[in-house]
Amino acid sequence: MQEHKLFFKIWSYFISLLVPILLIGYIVYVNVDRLMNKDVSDRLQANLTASVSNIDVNLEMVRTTHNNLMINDIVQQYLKPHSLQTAQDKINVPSIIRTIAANRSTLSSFIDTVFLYSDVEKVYTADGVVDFETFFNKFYAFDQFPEAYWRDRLSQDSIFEILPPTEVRLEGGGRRTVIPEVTTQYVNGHLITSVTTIPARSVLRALTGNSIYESTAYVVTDADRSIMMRSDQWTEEQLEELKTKLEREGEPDQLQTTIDGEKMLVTRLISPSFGWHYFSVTPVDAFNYESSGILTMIVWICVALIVIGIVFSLIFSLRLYNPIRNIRSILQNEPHPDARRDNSRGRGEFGEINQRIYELMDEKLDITERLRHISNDRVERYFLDLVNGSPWQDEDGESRIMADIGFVEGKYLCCCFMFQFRDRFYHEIAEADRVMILEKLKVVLWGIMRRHVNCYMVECEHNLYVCMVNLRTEGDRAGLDEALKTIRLTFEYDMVYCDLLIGIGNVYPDTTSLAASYSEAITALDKMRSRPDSSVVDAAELNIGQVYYYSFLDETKIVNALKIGEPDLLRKEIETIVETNRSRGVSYSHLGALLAAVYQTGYRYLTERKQDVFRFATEKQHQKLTQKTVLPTEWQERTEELYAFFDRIIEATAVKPERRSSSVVALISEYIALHYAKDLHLEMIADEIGLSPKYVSKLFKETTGSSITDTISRTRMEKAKELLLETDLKVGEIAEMTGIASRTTFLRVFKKYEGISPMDYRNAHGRRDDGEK
Amino acid sequence: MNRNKKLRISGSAAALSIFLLGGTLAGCGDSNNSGNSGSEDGALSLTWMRYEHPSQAIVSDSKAVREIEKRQNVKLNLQSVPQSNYDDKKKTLIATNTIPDVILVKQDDIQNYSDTGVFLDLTPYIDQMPNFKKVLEEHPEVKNNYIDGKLFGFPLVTKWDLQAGQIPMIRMDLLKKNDLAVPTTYDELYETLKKLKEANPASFPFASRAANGLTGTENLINPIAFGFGSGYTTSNGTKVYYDPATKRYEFGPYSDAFKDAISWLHKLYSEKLLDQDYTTATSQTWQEKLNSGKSFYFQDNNGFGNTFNTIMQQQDPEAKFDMIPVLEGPGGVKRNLVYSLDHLSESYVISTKVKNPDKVIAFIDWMYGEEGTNITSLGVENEDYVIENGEFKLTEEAKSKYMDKPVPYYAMQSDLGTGYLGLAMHYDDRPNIPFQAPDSLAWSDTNLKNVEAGINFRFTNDPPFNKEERERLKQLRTELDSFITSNMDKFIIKDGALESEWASFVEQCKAKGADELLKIYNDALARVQS
Repeated sequence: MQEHKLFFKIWSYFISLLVPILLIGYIVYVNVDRLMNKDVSDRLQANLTASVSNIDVNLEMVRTTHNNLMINDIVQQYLKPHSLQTAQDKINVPSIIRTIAANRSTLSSFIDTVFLYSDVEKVYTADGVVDFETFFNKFYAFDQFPEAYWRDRLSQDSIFEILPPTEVRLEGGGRRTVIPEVTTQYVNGHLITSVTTIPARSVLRALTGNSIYESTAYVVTDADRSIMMRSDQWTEEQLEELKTKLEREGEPDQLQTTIDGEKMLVTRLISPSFGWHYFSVTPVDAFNYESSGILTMIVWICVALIVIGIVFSLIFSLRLYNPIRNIRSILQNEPHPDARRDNSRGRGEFGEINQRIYELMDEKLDITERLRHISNDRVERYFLDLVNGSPWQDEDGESRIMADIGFVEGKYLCCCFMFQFRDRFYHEIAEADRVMILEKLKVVLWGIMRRHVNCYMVECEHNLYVCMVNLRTEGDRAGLDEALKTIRLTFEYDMVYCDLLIGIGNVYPDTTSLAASYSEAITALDKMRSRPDSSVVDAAELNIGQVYYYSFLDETKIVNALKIGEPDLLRKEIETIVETNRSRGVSYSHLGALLAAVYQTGYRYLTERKQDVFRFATEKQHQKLTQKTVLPTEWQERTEELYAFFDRIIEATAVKPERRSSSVVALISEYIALHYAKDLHLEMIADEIGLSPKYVSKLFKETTGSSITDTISRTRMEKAKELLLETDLKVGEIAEMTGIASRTTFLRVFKKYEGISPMDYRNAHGRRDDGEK
Repeated sequence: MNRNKKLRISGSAAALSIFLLGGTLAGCGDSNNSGNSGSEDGALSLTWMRYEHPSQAIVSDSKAVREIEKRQNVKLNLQSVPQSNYDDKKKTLIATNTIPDVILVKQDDIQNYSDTGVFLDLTPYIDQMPNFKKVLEEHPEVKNNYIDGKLFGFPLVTKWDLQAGQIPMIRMDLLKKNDLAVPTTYDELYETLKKLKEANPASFPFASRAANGLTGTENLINPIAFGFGSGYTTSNGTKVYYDPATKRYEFGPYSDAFKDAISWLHKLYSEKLLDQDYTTATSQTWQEKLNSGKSFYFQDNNGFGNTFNTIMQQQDPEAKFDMIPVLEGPGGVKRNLVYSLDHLSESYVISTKVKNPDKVIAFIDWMYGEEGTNITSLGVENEDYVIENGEFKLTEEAKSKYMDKPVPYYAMQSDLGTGYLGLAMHYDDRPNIPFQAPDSLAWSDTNLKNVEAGINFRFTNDPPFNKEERERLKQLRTELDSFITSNMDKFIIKDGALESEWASFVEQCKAKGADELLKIYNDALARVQS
């Protein structure tokens, strides 16, 4: 149960969708019931109206027929008191009878009998002539109107009058209720009483026969509310109850009430022609039965919907639940980085799953980020290796890398940006800002380039940035120009501090040829030195050869110079060879190769003399010198190094000259130790000692293994640590005292060298010191 | 996977809505199939209409109906219409060609509508009906029902019935009381009535009535004129009669005997021995007069004698009507009219619209056979009746069940659905015997004997006419009927009219086509007899 809580939760969500069904079902149920009731009462009213008008028509027909009989010629001529009848009159009597019969039969269903009498001896009926007494006492005995009443009727003329309903006894024991209509008129000089009786049954039948519901009961009263006719299903008590209820309600046309414990719908109508009141009383049960069909259907539809809903929700829940459960169990089994979360059941299963998914997503982001770093490094490595002339053999990896950075189609070229900072840059800009600027340069360049072309930026060397450009369309070339223009504009104001040189290689159809494009770009950069007025050189404008010229003769010259042990001569020979190549338009990278070849010559020279090459060059130097590429910025250094290498060979193989380098380094170290509190930099130091900054830097680095800048910083930090431990000076004061104007730079540099913040350092070491004291 | 799931869900949603729709439709259409096609498993369902006599109610699931369903697998849906409205209803149904499967009609209706194709022609089926064929052989008069050689109706025939007729009936107790002899001639009857009038001055000794479709005047003259050796009307009121002596139709007023009869009646009227309201007397007033001691003699259905006796004897145990021997007319004629036992003028016809005429025919033939006759006349043997030594007897259950009812005979017939007024087509009225006073049975026996002796003659039905004749008859009757009727009343009521106007009356009858009327009848009769 606990285990499947989630299932029941899902299921209950689905089941809650069934609530509208119940709601709609209920509303429909109530409304249908009401509509049906309204409909029924309308129908009952219409039905009663139709029946009553039918009755009225018949009653009027009865009266008309009755009147027709009185004015009929035969009656007018032949009907006379028995005592006055002649033989001829007697012969004519059958025609009177036939006339009466004919009149009666015109409306036989609404006329029970018609009789006429002009004396108290004979009564003329539709069947024949009957003795007066026999007729009123035996054949047609009115309960309420005895023979004497009919004698009286004959004594005075009267217009048509409807008498109250009365029962009549018939010969043979039959009884029926009739409504007599009487008139007494002068006919042929004699008073004749004519009576038509309307069977109450036929009036009621006209009502019940048209009745919509079999159980509808009818009551007819005259204008004075005394009951004339009623259908059989009533008891006197029920009638009384109905009467009092109707009076209490002010006799509305429609009334729903309870009679004898049963709900009834009463409808009333007043007949326009006779003033009778007709009431139809229908038990509500009668028509409820009718509507109950529809209502039952609604109920069953709802029940069916709910059952189906429950079944389907069960199926849906099952289908949904299993995958969710699987997800949950996978998540729960996954080793949790944060064990504390296991306790967080309170948030519910879904919350937990949600939480775990977010965690997984975070993890994924982390991994992606790391992966991106790795792949960025990889791309960078790829390009570096490519431009350094050692392309990867892994074709597959290469194309994948290219695909990653979008180098899929089109042409490629290489673009080199080289910054040459002026002294002002070092003097006027605080080191911290410099560091920041240098860090940002790549981002700025790449950002601008990326806006126009698909490209990839690599920092190849200090201050040398190489941009691999992928030209997909013709327009991209223009884009590239635009990008370069933007870059130049961007750095225009910085010209005070640095020169930006841009070299552009040729366009090649594949990525592997980027190396060639790179070397052309570098060559272009190199050429630029001879053309200081322009900052952008396109390799396409130059004639760049992809070979170098280093003949056997040239090699012999160098070997000779070595043998002679004349450094100046050697230097001159090398310069001549380089100059010759350069003038022939050899590309920069091949000039590098030329230098490497020259170094090889020295290397062979040593090998021939069984000299260990590493006595003359450190392994690092050896590697550097065998490298076939060289950057324009490195050129000087490289050639110097090469000269130094040869100088050492000459020194070793010829006379040993005095060495100065160690004394120079000592001088620099001393200078730094003395002046660390001031703004110190390479150029300043070089000035002080009277040597070129490059040479000093090189010499220092060669000798000590670390750069001057590094040494300065290190010295400063040593001093800072001392101050931190031994004084109570604030960090800002210490920074100033160690020559770092900005407190933040100090903090950064301190952290870089010591790994912790100055305050932490002070806290950690100061305490111990306290303990010692 | 995901997509699949969605599809499946929407699929089941569609299925759901279809299911619901179907449910709704089914709910709506549920109550609609109450079709009334009758004949599955071979059952035959027939709508069957006849009139309902006031005395014998038609019960829709009477024993006969149940037995017929059980034995013949025929479901009768009885439609009964009160006799008083039956003619109208029947004529409407026929005229609109909407008659039920089987309906009871008069020979007149068959004559009038046989050529409209409403009624099924039975002639081709007669050979399929062994029972009915036998009935036809036993009742040759049915030939009169053929129209142009075709039979359309199954007539109501009688296997056994009490024989009644317009027989002279008199208050025998008053004769004894006043020391009067039983009259044997019409003249003696006149003297006797005169004596009775003298003894009861307020009375009108001779009472008559209008009955059986005839006016009071016709119903009065018929037995008297026949007894005098002439005759007046046929059973349907045409002013000719079949004379068994000449074996042809005759026109009464042509004969002297007729004039004598009218003269005799005039004498009775003028001396107030005859009911002064005879022209407008109804069966009701007639009965009232006879059973309340206002009248003492009638020459009408002798069956009433028993009814009157029962009522009168409640106050006067001595009071009693009894049959007197056949009266002798002038010239020694001695004859009486008695009713035909059969009701050949009433026939059941079959609608041409019935789906299975062969089945209907087979069923009706069964009704004429012994089993059908017994079921529709007597009930179920050993339940309702037993036959002991050939004698019909009611079972004790039946007796105890019905004897206390106001009119036990009709109560029983109504419950069983039997008899002439029930479902019988070939009826046997023996169930009436246990309810009859011994007198009635004796009167019936006397009547039968007199029939055999050639003194009592049964009314005969009209011979079949062709279409032309029928048209002509209608015309002639409109001219003659009211003329003769009003003249007859004049001759009976008015003093001296007979002497002064008789000859011219006869002349006028001739002028109005009495001869042609006679000829049509005799021609038609000749066709039947040849």
